[in-house]
Amino acid sequence: MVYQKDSRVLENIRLGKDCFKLIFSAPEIVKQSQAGNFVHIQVNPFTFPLLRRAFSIHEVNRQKGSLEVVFKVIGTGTEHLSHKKKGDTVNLLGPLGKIFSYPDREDISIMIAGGLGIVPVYFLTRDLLRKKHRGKIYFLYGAKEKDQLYCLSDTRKLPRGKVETLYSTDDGSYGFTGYLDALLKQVLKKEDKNKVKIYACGPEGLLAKLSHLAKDENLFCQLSLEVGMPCGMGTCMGCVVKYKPDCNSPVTFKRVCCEGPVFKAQEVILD
Amino acid sequence: MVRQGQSKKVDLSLEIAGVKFENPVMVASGTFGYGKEYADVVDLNKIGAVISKTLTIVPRDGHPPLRTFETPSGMLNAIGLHNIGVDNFINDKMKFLRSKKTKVIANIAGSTIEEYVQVAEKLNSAEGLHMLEINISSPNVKRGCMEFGSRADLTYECVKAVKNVSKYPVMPKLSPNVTDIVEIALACQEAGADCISLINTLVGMAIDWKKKKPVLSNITGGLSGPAIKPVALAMVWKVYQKIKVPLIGVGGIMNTQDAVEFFLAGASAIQVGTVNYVDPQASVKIVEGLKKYCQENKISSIKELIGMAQPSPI
Repeated sequence: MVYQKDSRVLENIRLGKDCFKLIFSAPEIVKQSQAGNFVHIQVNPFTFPLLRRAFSIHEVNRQKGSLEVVFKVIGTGTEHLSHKKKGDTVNLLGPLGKIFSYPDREDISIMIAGGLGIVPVYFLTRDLLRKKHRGKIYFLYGAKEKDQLYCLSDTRKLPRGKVETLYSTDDGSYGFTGYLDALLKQVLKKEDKNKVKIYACGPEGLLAKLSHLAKDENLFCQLSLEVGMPCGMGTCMGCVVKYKPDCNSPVTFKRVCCEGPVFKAQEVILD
Repeated sequence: MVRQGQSKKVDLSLEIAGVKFENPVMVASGTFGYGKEYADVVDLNKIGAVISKTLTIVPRDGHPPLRTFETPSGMLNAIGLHNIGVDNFINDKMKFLRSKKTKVIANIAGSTIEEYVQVAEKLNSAEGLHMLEINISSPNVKRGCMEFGSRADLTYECVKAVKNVSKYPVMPKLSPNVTDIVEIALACQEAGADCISLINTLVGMAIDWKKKKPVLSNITGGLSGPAIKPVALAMVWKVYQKIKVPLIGVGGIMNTQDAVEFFLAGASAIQVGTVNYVDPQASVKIVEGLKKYCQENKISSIKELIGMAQPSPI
């Protein structure tokens, strides 16, 4: 069930220079939300910016009926959102999109969080912890530099005994020096590849590398893709990704909003 | 006597070629999928008509990404008629649509006039369908659509061919990307169109100034949204003065005020398009808004509004 609701802003927290966390009261949406889902937010009631903006859900509080989104100011829409104050009302549409396929207890889950791509995999991790998931979880969080690890305060709270959190920065200012795919390869050396389930979100370059890696090594890997979505409901056909489920199939197009945003890494073609 | 708190009933219904619409608010083709997608958030029983995504004789995959781009108070799209094909529409989508009170209009297109005819013929067996909208105006495909709709002779040929085989009333949808839209509308009327919808999107483009390349894979796309409303309104105004068949106004309608302006210019009904992406409930809100506007202006039937702003005949 999808809901369209005017939702109250409970809090707007600045996480960094241009990065914000908005917490909304949206009980109906929260009740239905699972990791990988997104909400489509009308940033203002005017004609500019006209279209809604899609945000993966970062975290929910099912008792309070609240949900969190995290975003960086990259244009007019996010600029408007960054000015929202406690008590403001914003129209939310959701939960939308296909979710991650949750791991089984014997699986080894590896979360790959590239920059703000942390959002959906953080939700998945938190949801697994809430569900008292017994399987091993790695959480690999990377960014260009330490200042861009915007959700550090969240990942530091992940319980050490249950989640092994590893960091990487391109400039070496925090954790491993280098890209996340290199860090992933180190982890993979230690684990049984047949039991590994990789869940990733982040910049397209990272996801393209993971897509190739998953193909080459025959790994289970799901990617959450980010593209502009006019409708978010599967009607405008505007948000497609190139799709090729196997080498014998022709390239077709799938809608990221409703046939994704979570796809098997092997099945999408990322340029 | 009207009791306090009980409002006077306003007649929003209209009839076109024997099809009785509960109200004159339709959701435009390409902005509402096949109806069911929005069923969680919109009560389809309250919408005058649902117009399907354009249907072609076989499913089409459309253009590669990027297909859409937001512009000031508008958006560009170059989808390329990505659709499930007419057979799948009849077999998989009609059952749901006919369970609703809304009227169902299938929007059709082809690369050749023969293809338009084939789609129309197939739809004759679609139980619960009420009308065909003929897409002779999409600017995003190399063959068909606007290729026909930008020439009066081909418009006539295409509309006539569909009209000849279809058991439903037909509504050609006109392109604004023409020298004289009245000439095209006259060709539709002459070919037997039961009503005419106008306008489809305006050709536009966007360039990525960082990558120094066009944004859309198709290079150009169709501009829609509130940015095009004044253009659409002017075209309805102009066509109304020369055409006898009912006009369905479409282009950038966001709210009741926009809708009323189209009625005043000469539209008998309206379609809402891009706003469905912004507020899926916009069509239902406009139906309510029209009722309220009529009550406040002591208008008992929406028909009284049609062309009211036009100069009176001497």
